[in-house]
Amino acid sequence: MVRSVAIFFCLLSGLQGLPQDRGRALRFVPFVNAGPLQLDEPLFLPDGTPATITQLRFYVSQIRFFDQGHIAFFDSSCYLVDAGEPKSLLIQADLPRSTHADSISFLLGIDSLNNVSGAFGGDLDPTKGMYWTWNSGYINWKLEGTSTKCTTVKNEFQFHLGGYLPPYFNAQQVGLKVKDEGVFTVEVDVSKFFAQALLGGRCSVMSPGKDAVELAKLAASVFSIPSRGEE
Amino acid sequence: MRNKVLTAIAALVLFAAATDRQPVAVEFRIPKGWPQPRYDFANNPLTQEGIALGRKLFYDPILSADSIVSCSSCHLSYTAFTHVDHAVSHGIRDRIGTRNSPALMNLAWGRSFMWDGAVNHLDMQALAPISHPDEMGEDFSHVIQKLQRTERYPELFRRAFGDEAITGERMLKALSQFELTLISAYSKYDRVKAGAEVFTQQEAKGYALFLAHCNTCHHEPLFTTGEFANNGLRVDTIYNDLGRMKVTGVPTDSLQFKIPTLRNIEFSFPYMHDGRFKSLRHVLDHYVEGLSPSPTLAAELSNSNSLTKDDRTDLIAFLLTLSDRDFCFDPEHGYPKE
Repeated sequence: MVRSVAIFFCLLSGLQGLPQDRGRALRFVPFVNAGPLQLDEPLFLPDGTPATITQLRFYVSQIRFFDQGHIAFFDSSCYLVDAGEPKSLLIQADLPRSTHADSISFLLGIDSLNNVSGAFGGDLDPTKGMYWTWNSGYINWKLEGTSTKCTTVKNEFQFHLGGYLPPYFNAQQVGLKVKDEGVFTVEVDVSKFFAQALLGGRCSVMSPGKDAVELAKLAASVFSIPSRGEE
Repeated sequence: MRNKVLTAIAALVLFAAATDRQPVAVEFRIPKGWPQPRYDFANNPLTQEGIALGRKLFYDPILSADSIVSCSSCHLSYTAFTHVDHAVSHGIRDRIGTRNSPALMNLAWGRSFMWDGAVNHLDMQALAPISHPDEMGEDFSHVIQKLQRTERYPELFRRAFGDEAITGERMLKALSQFELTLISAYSKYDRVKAGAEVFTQQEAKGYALFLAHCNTCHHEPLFTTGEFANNGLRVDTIYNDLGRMKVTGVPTDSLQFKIPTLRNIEFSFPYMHDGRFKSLRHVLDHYVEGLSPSPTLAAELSNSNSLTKDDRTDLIAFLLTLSDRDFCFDPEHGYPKE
């Protein structure tokens, strides 16, 4: 039963675009070098190397809002957040504005059950390009671009992080303290990812394993709540 | 005039009935004495329309980049849905793959798919050959776009799923529906088990040998446990294929491959993941004389067996009772006529 409910909700995950004034929402704001991330625009990595980011997509699932340690809200849906799709950056939570919350958590990626239960639609549809065809499983985090640091073909870097089988389970829990506001803005600072991901000429990780887990932990660390004033 | 109006109304009613018709549910019948299937039909209930759509997709080369290769190119119904007489298969532009195309049958009982178990669910299996550059060489989302642009498919998806939306999920589930109907359970072996026929003396001798030497891994009635094993094949120097280990990264999985079913084995030559053995005789000779030592060799094979040449002949006589001609020539399995 639990399983079919989870699956049902994941099927609904493609249904976005609920009325914006409904209540609470999570807004992801991709950043690089303290500025908004612009796909396909030239930029510099933290060490000064020129680079371009062509794609940033990741799954967010199991969203929870907490109030003094108690779960005030839980959404078992799976959302595909795409830096190139502004609509996907806002995830509506269907609960009243009056609901209090002091922290939030979500799974960066897709849990094991949804990785082994066959075909889903919506954001989990394999046409989204976030499913490995040669080795079953969702790609939790996909970051692609070019950098002269990479000696690969066309200087490309490709990080496709996923994997659901132990010992290389890839999805990571992210927990953040929040100020109680209508929309929780979550910054996604990919500079932090680059600071370590490209070390030692590592420019492509595209299969489950130790490297993918290490990088997934790194990816989970790039989420933060802005301390400066609200938008 | 009145008659004409009535005829028109009747035609409209019939038309409405035809277009609003719910998909007709199809019951999945478990052959007597077989275990429960592993496929979760609750997430993808079989319907006549869903099966028909899956069958059309299975035979449609639109799934490949060059519109020449379909699923059936390497999985031919007349030979138990395998690529007969091909050690490894060829895909678009005659590109050669690295593995022997598995025979497709009794997939509802499958625990994992592909020779190395890289695919964990039947629904997701088709993604692998569609995307592989040496097989169908297509991008899955492009396949869906191509289907959306056809005249025929939106209507077939509507019949199967209630509206004309063509999605990856629906396409994969329709393919699963057709593949789930590929049940082979009517061989001579099955008729003997049901008491409707008897083995010849030689077949009976072969069956006894089978139970003593083969049944642990090729467990009846499915004739496979669905597990993986290293059956003592020398590592192929061309492909250097380590099998299951490539998926799990675990060294003890080195050289382990999926244990294939023995049903319809008469038709599925050549044998093994790389098709290295042309005949059943070669296979049995391998198990008696050709085992390659390895730390991961299946424990069941570690003690050399003593099958004589005559034993091997008897064993083959039994294996041929697993041929299911009704399955191979079932008109419901072949190219859809429309």
